[in-house]
This record gives sequence, C-alpha cells and structure tokens, in this order.
Amino acid sequence: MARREFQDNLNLVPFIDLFSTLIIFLLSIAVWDNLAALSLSLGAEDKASVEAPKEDIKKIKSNVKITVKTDMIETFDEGKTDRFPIVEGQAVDFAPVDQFVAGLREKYPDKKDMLVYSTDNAVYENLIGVMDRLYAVDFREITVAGLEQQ
Amino acid sequence: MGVKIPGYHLHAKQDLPGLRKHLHGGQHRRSIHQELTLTSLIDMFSILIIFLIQNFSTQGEMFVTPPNMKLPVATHGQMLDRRPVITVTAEKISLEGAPAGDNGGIDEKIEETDWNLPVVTERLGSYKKFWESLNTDTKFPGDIIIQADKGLNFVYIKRVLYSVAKVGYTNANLAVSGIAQAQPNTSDPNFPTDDPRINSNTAPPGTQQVPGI
Repeated sequence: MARREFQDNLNLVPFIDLFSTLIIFLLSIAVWDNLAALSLSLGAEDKASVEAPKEDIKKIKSNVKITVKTDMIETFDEGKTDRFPIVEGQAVDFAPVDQFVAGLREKYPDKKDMLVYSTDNAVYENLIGVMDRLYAVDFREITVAGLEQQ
Repeated sequence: MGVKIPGYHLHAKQDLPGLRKHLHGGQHRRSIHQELTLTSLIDMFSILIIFLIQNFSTQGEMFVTPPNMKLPVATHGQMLDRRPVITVTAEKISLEGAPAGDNGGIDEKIEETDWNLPVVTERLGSYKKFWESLNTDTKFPGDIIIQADKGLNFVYIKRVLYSVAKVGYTNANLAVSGIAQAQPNTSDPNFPTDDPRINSNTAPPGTQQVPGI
C-alpha cells in the first residue's frame, strides 16, 4: 500500500476567490459620503414657531445663551456677556466658544438644553460650528431661535 | 584573397561556458511549474477588506446631495434616519428632489420676502395626514431633514423652518458632513428613547414661556 504524499502547499485559490468577491461586493455598496445630523427644536421666540402647534413648542427659559451674528459670536451666562469677533474671509476661531461651553458643562453638569440665537445674516456654517461644540459637551437639546436682522 | 565567412566571435575568442550552460538549463532542466508569490496579493486584499468593512454603513445613501453643495462639517452629529428631505440652495428649495420654492435674492429683500412655502406645506401636510392615518394611536414625530450649503445665511434655513413648523414638523435635523457619533434623536415610536422631550408634550421642568416676537 502506497503512502499518501504529504501536501505542504496551502490551496489559496478559494481564498482569493472569496476575497475578490467580497471586495467587489463591498466596493459596490460602499457609502463614501459620511452624513450625520444635528437635531434642533424650534424655539418659542422664533418666527417659525409662532405658527407651530403650541404643544410642540419648547418653552424657553435660560440664563445661558449663545448668539451667532455675522461679525461675532456672543455668549451670555447669568448677566456676563462675552463677544468673540468673526473676521470676514478668515476661518472662525471657535477656541473661545470651546472654553465657554466647557465652563458651562462644569458649572451645570446635568444641563442638557441650550438656547442658540442666530441673526438672519449669520453664516449657517458658524451656527453649525456652535451647535457642534455644544453637542461635544453633551448639550443635546438645542433650541434655535431667530433674531431679527441687526 | 577570397571571401572569408565570419565566425562566431564570442565563441571563438571569449566563450563563457558557464553562462552557456546556465542558459540551456544547467545540469538540471527547469521545471515548468513556477510558484507565484501570493503573500503580497493577500496582504493587499486583507487591508482593502478591513478598510471597506470599516467604512461599511447599514444606512446606505440617505439622500443625494447636489454636487455643488458643500455641507457644513460637524464631528458630533447623530445618525440620520429616513425622513423627508428639504434641500436649500441660494436659488431654490426642493422637497425630496422636486422643486418646492424659489429663493432668489431672499437675503437682499428680507422684508419683502414671502415666508410661506405653499408647496412645501401642502406636500408635508398631506404626508403628515397619511402618516397619522396609519398610526392613529401615536403622536406624529415631526422629524424632517434639512440640508443646506454651509455658505448660506441663516435666513434661508429660517424660512424653511417657518414653513415646516406650520404643519407640525418641529424636530428639524440639519444634515452635516461627518461621521455620526450617536443614535438618531427621534420621536418616532420605532426608536424608543428616554429623551423627556419625546415622551412628554410639556416643557421641561423649570421652564416658562417667553413672549414671542
């Protein structure tokens, strides 16, 4: 009876077949745009919410608020107002806003809601920048209210 | 002098017997079975698969962003859920890809602008009625997705918020570019949550009404 010859080579053909199929499949369903969302509720001071059903409107009372304007971001905390200028054509420096929201988080560890005002001519990207920083420190119940043009 | 046929010079003067032997297979004939080096191929496949699986999204393409639109970037967004999508550009507003309003020069003539978007309110209103007819015992979640170019002024978004709020869409999700860090914040019954905003129609404790504009 002949001894069976020991096969020391791994058969890689099915392995490569599987990999190729998987790569084609994954490439075909790949989503290249990563999209997310920042949720907001409509404030009672906003024109928009005037028309909304009353029970859907979040009532606002806050000692803390952030206002996004064309040329500055204004923070307000219990009577103290700080203004951080926005220079047209330059990237907005959000570092002071980061410091402000980090300070708020330390001061109000359980607070989730935050009021953000925006003037009509404020740049949308700056509003999102402020909201993103609020989300970063877990202020996730953001109410956005419009201010009249200034 | 007769014609002389030239000989094989290399052979004649500088013969390399070792090379000649090697070119003809040496002492042992070469096997026709040559092995391919597959290690690098498999390495590359593995890296590619790991990368693609990392990028794998069960969400799929939620909606199409117009090619000339640049969404604002955010790093702490939440996952998007399938909701009606309103696209806002400097020229127009579209609802689910269909034109639904004109934005021409809105930021130059805010006072004269008609804040109503009748097509938007009509379509969203009928969708809400349809939803409520299917879910009679559930409160309408009022979720909507708004995607707008990052360079627009807030007045464009405000106009849309005004119109959608009129028909009960008070939970707006602003689409941003970035990897979602959290689950969707939604009042849809399919996504149970402990968020007090969702489980209650009343204002959070310690709040009071501020007079409107």
